Amino acid sequence: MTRLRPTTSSFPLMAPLLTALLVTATPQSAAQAAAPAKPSAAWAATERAARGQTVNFYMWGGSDNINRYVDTVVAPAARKLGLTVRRVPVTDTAQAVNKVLGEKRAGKVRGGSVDLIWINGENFRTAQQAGLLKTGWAESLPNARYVNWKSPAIRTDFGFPVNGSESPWGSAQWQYVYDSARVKPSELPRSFAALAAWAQRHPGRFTFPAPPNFYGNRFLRQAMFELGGGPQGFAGPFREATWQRASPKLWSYLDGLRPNMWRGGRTFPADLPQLYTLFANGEVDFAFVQNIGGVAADVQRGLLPKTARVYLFDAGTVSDTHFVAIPFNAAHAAGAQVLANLLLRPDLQLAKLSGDTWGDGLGIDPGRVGPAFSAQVKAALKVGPYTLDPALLARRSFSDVDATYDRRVQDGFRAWLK
Amino acid sequence: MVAPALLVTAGLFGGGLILTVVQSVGVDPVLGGQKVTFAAYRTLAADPAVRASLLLTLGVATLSTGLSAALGTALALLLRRAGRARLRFLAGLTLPVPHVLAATLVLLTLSQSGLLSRVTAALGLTRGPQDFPALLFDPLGVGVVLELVWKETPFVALLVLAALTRLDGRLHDVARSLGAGRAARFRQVTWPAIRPALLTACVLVFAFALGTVEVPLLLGATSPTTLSVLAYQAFTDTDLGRRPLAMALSTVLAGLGALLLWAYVRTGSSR
Repeated sequence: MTRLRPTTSSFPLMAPLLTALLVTATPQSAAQAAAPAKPSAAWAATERAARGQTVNFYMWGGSDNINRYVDTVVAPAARKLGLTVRRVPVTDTAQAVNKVLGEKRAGKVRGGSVDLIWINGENFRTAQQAGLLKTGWAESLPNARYVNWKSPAIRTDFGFPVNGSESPWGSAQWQYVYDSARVKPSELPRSFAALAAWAQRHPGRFTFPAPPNFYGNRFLRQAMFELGGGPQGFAGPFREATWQRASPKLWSYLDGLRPNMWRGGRTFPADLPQLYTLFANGEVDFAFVQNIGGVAADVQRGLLPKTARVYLFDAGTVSDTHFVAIPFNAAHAAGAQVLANLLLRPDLQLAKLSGDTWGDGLGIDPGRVGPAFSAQVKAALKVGPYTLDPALLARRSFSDVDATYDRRVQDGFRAWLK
Repeated sequence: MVAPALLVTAGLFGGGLILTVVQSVGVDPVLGGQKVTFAAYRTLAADPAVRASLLLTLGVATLSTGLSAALGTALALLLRRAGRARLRFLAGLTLPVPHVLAATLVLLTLSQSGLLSRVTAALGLTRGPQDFPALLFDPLGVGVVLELVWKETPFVALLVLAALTRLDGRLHDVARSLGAGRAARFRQVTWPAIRPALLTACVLVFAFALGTVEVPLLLGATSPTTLSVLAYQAFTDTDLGRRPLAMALSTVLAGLGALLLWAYVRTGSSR
């Protein structure tokens, strides 16, 4: 069984949090769990201040499963702490960032309308660069002791240092979805080259959401990794030479794929829900999912057919962490911290992992909670047709790269479309 | 008496407009922009996607306005003849439906795997989604125009009908007694009566079609897309450096709207 690597390297081929899923508790971490840290006086004051507050939690609202998890699991647990969670759905996290930016522009330094944002990657970098986030709070949450702060997947977000200004909520890994009623497992393309060949044999049956959509970006970036000789070459800070070498291959790959795509590649679904609709209606044969629990939750809710299955490309797929952050001017910063702390609580993390609710990966390290918890984690992930073996996921995962590549792919796609 | 309302309108709308223009020329203290620059406008002018988008935007707005004006007038004349209150109520039923919902309904009905496609497949006319005509997400904006026409035709009809109701029916009798045929009566009696209402309706429809984001976002192609969608994308881009572009696009849209208003006022006063 793999352990997390020493964390000083920025080598991308590591299995950041998924490995954590499999780590059996060491005596040391069991001891940590046995003696829970005494809540500090400062935290007690935060909890007191939070009592009675309503936390405006801005989060992407495009998934019913995720919304339901927050409404039926997180909100009732928060109510027990005297906290009301007001979930504010946005179609794009950038909208929440925009709102805070607008408030900063208007000189509103306190009493801001956004208390907590579900965030990662480029949005985090943008918000951090514009000085929109409260810093240095995440590591002092009581439940932060369950988080492996040494893991590069948590210490940095798309290559950008986190510095305690966001608290991890969960982890995800890219997987491909197919319909076993339409595509035989033996015919599945397991690389981008094979995907192009498959599309040539089955024209009009594949598409991806158009960048700037997150899923579209991530799909193209992974194609670029394969065409550019693997993700290792893209590790570390952005290098112009690497981009110049790899990007032409990406665009010529897309040129070849385009005529065989859905609607001849003249138009693309705008987002993941649209892609799921196309997939469920039988217009296309592939979709994507990021949940560690695979498509279990989506199949259970009837969003995807019972014949939907998940699989990976042979070279592996991107995995990452997603976080929550507090704006610098949040009106209910205390409540937001209590909520962020609650999101890390092992029982809530476990409920989130289950395919019955959301299927999202853990944000905490089970080894730091205790052996009993590690066993529960294994039980919660029902490996089967809808959920891949976490050991397989961990073996076939790599971290995402510097966000500048993401930006270049977005801009390049816009230029390529014409 | 109108001063408070005017103040609110001028404050909220005018203030927003001024901020938009200011940010479009790169002045934004929060993001570190201090000097006036027209870089955003130059970027727009040099971008062929923006040109294609401008053409599409104007095309969609013109076509949907023209079609809903023609259909709306025809509907109003029919309703006037039928004269039933219940029919009028039915015709106005789509008015309170929000555009987002209407666009979703169009999506559910007309997409290649939508209701209509399922009906044709069940009847054996098509073998699957790929045989059904691709009406939505097309580069010409057919889906967007269809939604706008569906929503705006009853709106035009309502305004025209109100004008028709005010029209004295005896004018028609007089015209007929003077030997005017159907076409002549429409030209001489009906048209002058409904023209102002129709013009107002057209301006409102055109202005809405110019600025709508939700409809092209749901039913339009990835590229080209309308100016409003481009502005929305630039505004929600994670790169804050694209904010001036969003503001410049919005300013261009506002300029088009102002041009329309100017033309409307001129036509109105020259009557």
